[in-house]
Amino acid sequence: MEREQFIRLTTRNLEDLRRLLTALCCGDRQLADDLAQDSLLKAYVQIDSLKDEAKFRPWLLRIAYTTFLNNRRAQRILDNYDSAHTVVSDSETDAAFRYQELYDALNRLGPTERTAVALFYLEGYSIKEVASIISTSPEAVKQHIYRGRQHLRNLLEK
Amino acid sequence: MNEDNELRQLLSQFNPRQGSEVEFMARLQRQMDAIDTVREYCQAERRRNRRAVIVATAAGCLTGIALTLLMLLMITHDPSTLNFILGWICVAGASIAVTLASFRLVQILMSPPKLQLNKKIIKAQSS
Repeated sequence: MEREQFIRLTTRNLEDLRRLLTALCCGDRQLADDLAQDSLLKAYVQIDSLKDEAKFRPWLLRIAYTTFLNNRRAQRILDNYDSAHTVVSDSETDAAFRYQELYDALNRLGPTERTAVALFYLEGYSIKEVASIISTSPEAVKQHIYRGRQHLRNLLEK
Repeated sequence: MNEDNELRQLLSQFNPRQGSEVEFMARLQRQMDAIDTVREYCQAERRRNRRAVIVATAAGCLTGIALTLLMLLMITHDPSTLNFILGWICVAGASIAVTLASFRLVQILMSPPKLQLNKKIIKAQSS
């Protein structure tokens, strides 16, 4: 795949990628952008392994998920619940706090549950597709989504 | 099912304000430039090594053949076993020396643009 083609596909999927990573990083936009950059660079390096252009989006999201997990393992900064309250956005408006409850709720979920929920509800992927992206079985994804839903319901009802 | 719809609705409205896409893409492209430079460097390295191996093999073979013929010519005058063994050792040693020397020589003659690579990477990292 040529560089121009990669950029075209990236531009088409960039908004979704950044939105997903913002949700996974519980609103830490700077971290989400750094992870998006890392994911795209990894994708660019491995671009020859992608045979079908139509599968670019799930392939990219799989890389983004792995990058997110690696970063989380390395830093462990998202484990701290309090950090969600100090998530900083450079927005001048109250938009930074618009999703605060959602970020707090997402931050209570484990990384896999969070990703499964985000991919299923946010990106609209099917159970099977989510399973393929996070490299697990559809049954496990159902479990993750069920548990994630319970957590989110409890937290968002408060 | 109801919960499902509620959550789907809640998350479908999730549209956080993102930073400039232009800036994001500019940063990405700078880093892609660095990757491309490294790729070009690696390809140049591979080409250089491949050519060096070909030249070295050819030089080694030619030297070996030439020295073997010379040795055969020499031992016809004095066909002792010692001369024969010494002759082969000289042929093998000279062939190996020529092979290694020509490999290194081709590598030096085709040296990659190291300075340019470093500058590009530093530029991409700093921006």
